[in-house]
Amino acid sequence: MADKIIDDVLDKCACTTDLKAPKGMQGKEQLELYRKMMQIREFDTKVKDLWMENKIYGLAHSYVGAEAIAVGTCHALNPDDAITSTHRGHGHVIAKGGDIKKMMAELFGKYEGYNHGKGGSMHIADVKNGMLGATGIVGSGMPLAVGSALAADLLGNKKVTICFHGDGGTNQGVWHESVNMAAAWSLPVLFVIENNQMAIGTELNKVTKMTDLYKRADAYGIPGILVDGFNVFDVYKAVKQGVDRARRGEGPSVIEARFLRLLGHFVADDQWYRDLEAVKPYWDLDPIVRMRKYLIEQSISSMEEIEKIEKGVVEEIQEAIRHASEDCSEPPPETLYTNIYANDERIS
Amino acid sequence: MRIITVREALNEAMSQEMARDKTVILMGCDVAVRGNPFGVSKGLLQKLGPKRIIDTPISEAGFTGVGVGAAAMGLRPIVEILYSDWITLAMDQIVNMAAKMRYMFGGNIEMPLVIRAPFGAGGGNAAQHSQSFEAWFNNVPGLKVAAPITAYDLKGMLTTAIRDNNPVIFFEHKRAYQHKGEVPEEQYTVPFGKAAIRREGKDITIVSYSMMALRSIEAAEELEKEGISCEVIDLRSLVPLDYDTVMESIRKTNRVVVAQESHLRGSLASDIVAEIIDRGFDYLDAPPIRVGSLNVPMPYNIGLENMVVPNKETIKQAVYKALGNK
Amino acid sequence: MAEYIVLPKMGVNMVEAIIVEWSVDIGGKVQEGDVIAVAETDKAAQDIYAPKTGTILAHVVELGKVVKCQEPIAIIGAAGEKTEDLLQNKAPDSITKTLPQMMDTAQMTLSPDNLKVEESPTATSTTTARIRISPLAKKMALDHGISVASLAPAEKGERITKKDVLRFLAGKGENTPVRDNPSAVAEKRIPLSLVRKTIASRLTLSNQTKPKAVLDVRVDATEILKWKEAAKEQGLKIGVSEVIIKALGKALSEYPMLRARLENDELIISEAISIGVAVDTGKGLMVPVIRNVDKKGMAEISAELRLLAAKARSGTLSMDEMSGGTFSVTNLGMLGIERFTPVINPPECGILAVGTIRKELVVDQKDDSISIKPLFWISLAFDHRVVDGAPAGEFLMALKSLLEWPLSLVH
Repeated sequence: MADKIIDDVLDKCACTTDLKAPKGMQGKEQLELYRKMMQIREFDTKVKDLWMENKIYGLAHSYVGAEAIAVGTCHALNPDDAITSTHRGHGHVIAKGGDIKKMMAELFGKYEGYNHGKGGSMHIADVKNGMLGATGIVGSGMPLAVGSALAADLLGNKKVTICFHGDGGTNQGVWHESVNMAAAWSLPVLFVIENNQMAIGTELNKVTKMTDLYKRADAYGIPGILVDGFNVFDVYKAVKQGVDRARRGEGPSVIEARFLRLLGHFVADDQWYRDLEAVKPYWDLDPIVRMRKYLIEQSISSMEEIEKIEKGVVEEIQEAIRHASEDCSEPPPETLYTNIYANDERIS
Repeated sequence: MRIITVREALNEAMSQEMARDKTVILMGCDVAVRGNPFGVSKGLLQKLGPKRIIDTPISEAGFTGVGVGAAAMGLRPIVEILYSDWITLAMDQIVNMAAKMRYMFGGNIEMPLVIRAPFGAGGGNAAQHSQSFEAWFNNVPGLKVAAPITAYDLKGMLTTAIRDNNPVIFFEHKRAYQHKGEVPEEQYTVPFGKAAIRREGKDITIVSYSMMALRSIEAAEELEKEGISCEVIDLRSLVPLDYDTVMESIRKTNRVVVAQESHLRGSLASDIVAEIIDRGFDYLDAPPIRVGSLNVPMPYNIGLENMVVPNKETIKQAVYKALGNK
Repeated sequence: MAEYIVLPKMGVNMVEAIIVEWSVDIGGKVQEGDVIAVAETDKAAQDIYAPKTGTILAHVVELGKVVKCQEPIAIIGAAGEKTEDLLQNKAPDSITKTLPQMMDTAQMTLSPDNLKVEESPTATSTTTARIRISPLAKKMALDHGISVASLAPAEKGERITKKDVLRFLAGKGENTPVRDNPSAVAEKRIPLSLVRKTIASRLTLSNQTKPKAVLDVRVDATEILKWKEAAKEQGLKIGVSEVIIKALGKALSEYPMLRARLENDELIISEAISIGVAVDTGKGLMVPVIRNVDKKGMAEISAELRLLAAKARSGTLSMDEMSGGTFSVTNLGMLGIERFTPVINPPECGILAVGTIRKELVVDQKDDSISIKPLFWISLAFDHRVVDGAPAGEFLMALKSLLEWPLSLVH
C-alpha cells in the first residue's frame, strides 16, 4: 500500500555476524544466556496476550527481538553495577537478575509487585538490583546514568552504569549533554544504543542524517562500536570491553547494538503502517532462533536440554501469571499517600 | 448535521485550514507517516506533502523551538507534543521565547504558533502519561490556553487557534478521541474567551472544562432527579476565561463548584475560585468548592487511579457540600 | 554646573551601603573615573568613581552612615562654585526611589508577614462568639438594616445564609407565635435609600460599640430668652441653638476628655472644637459640622448654622461639611419633645440632646419660694469607656452654668 513504510533500513540491518562465544566461556554459561533470553521472550509474549485480555492495561512495550542486547550487556556486569532503562523495561529487569513473579505482579497492578502496583509496566524498577527504573519520557535515563557514574566515581566503589536507550533517544538534546559530560569527566558509564531503527512509526533515516549512530562518539572523543544486536555474544564482548575500560577509569564508550524492530512499538501495535511482508525474512535473524541453532550445531547442548530449558521457562512464566492473579492483592487505598515524600511525610 | 468523532473533527480542522492557508504546517513525532498514533493527522501527509507535514526526531525542546522560529518568520506552525506530560522538555521555548518575544522585542514579532498537547488521565497510563498542566500556562502572560471537549468545539477552536496570531497551547483530552458529536462540514470558528452553558439551572453553578465538563453534565443529570438544579458551564477557553458568564451565573445561583481533572493543589480551579471571590464575594451564599485529583502522582493500579481522578460522584459530593451550610 | 554624585547600584541585590572612606577631600580635583570614595555593602568594599572631571565641592553624607542607592553622597562641580542651592534640596525628588527600591517596597507590602488579615466587620460586634454568616447574607442584612446578631441559622451550628435573612424579613422569627395566615397580611416594601442605609449602619455601629451612659439636667432658659430678645431688637437673629453651640464649645475647651475618641487602645483628643448639629432634612438625619466654634462669634455661628441647615435640606452638603466633628448636638425641642436619649455619632464620644422650653413651677432650693420659669432639659450621652460619670457630670453642670448665664460666652 502506498502509505506503508517500505523499510529502507532493512539493508542496513545486515551487520550480522556469526555467533561465536568468547574464549573461555563454558557451555553452561552459554546455556544460561539462552535461558535468560527465553525468559524475556516468553514473558513479553505472554504480556501481549494478557494485555489483550485487559489483565494488564495502560501502556506496555515488548522487548521481543531485543533479548540479545539486554542479556549480553548484563552478563558483562557485576551484580552491584547499575543500569538505566527506557519505556521497554521488562527485558532489562530480567537480564539484570530481577524477580519474574514480582514483575508480573506489578504489571497486574498488585501490591506485591515491585512498585506496589503504582508504577506498572512503564515504570518497572528493581532498584535494589541496580535497575534504576523504566520511564516513559525519552531521554530521562541518560543524565541519570551519568549521575550514577559520577557518584560511583566520587565514592570510589568501582560501579559501572549502563545507559540503555533507543535510536530515537539519541536525538534528544539531553543525549548530547549526557555523553558530553560523561566524556569530559571520564565517568564509568556506557551508552548502549538499542538501535531497532524505528521510533514508533518513524524510521531512523527520516530524522537523522548520520545513521551510523556509533560514529557520534568520535565527536565527543570517546570510543564508539557497532555490534550485531541480534547476536548475544557480539553484544557481550563489546560491553565487556567497555565495562573493563570504565572500571579502569578510562571513561565512557558508546556501543550501538543494531537490529530491527520486528514487532510493533507497543503490545497492541499491529503496525498497519509498515510493509510487514518485507520484514518477514528478518525473523530469521531472531537472536533466539540463531542461538538455538548455534548451540545445537556447536554441540554445546542437545535438543532435549534446550527443550527442557524452554519448558521450564514457560512454566516459570505461567506460575508468575498464576501468582499475580491468585496470590496477590490489590493495593489498599492508604498506599495512595505512601512514598510521595521520604518517611511517608504527608503534605496535603 | 452529521456526526463524526473528535479525531475526525480535529483532522478536518487541520486539513481544511491547511488547504485554505499555505503557511500552516504540522510538525511532531509520528504525525506524517504514522498519521499520529491516534490517527489525528491520518491522510494529511498524502494530501499536503512532507514539507508541510513533518515527522520530527524525538527532540521536543528542539522542534518546539523550530516551531517558534518558523512562526516568527512567516509560517503558522502546529507543533504536536503527543502527551502533554512531555511538554516539560519544551518549556523553555514556550515560556521564555514564544510567550514573550512580542513583548520583549518591541511588538515586532508575530507568534502564530499552536502547540497541541493532549492531556488527561485514565486507562492506567501511570505517573508520566496522565498529567494536565494548564495551570502552569495560566501563569505565563503572553500565552493563550484552550481546552475544548466536544467535537464541535474542538474543530472550531482549533481553527480559531491556527488563525490567532498568538501562541496557543491547545489541550485536547487524550481519552476523548473516539467521542462523537455533531460537526458542520464547512469551516467555522469558535471564539476564545466565551464559555458555553451546557445546562441551565438555578440552585448551583458548576464551572468546569474538558473531561470534567462531561462528568459535570452527568452529575447534573442525576442531581436533577434529586431536585437539585445545576447550571453547568463548560469554559472551553482557559486564557482568556469568560468570567462574565461565570459571574452572571453565580449572581443567579449564589453557590459554585469548580471541577477540573488536574491535582487540586495549585490547580486552575484555585485561581478561578480566587477570581470569583474578587469579583463577587457578596454574591456567595457558601464557600466555593474545588474538585480535582488527589495530590499524589498518578498510580498505575486502576483501582487506585479511580480513587485519585474525580468523576461524576466526586462532583455530586462537591455539590452537596456547596449546598449545605455547615 | 554643580551636581550630585549619588551612590550607584553596584550589585544585583544592593539597596544601600556605608561610605567608609573619602578618597578625595573637599576642594580636591578629580578626573572622570578617579576613585572619590569607598563604600561598604554587605558583600564587599567597593570603589565609587567620579562621573566627570571637576572639583569635589562638598561631602553630603557622614562617614559610617547608611546611604541608600541613588541618594547623593557628594557634590562635584567647578572650583569655587556655590553649593547652597543644591544643599537646600538635598534629596532630588524625582529619582529618590529607584526601581529596585520601589519593587522592594512593593514586595514588602505584599508579603504575608505584614498583610494584616482584616477582621470581618462582624467581629466588631460586642458578642464574643464569631458569627458565621455567608457574604451574601451579610450584605443582605446590611442592606436591610438588620443587625447580624438578630439573625439565626436554620439549624444550630450552621452558617447564616440568604434563606435565613429572607426568613427574617418575612417575619418568621423563631419565637414569634404563629398568627393566622401571616403571609396574607398586606405590607408595603420600601427599599432603603442610600441616606437611610448609611444612617442605619452608622447608628448600628454606634450602638454596638459604645457603652453609653446618660445624664440629664434642667436648664433655666430665662437669660437665654432675654438675650434672644435683645439681639432681635438689634436686628440680629440669634436662636437658642447658637447659644447652646457656643456654650458647648466653651465647656469642651475646659473638659478635653469629652473631645476624645477611643481607637484600639489609644485615646485621641481632638484639639479642634467642632460641633455637629443634627438636622432633619425630611429625607433623613444629617449632621453638618460647624468647625472651631471656640474661634467664632455668635453671629458667625448663627449664619453658618442657617447656611448648613439649608444645604442639608436641599441635599447639597459636601463630605467635608459633614465630617471632622468633635461633639454633636441634637434638638427636638421644636417638636415639643421634653427630654430624650440620643445616639452618639461615631466616632465621637458624646452628644447633647436638647428638649423643648416649657414654663414650669420651680421651687427655690434655699428659701422654698415658688416661681414659674422657662426650663428645658439637656441630656448628655457619653461613651463610658472614655469618660466616667463624675467628670461627665461636672461637664454637664458647667454647661448648665454657661447656658444660664450666656453673657459669659461673650468676651
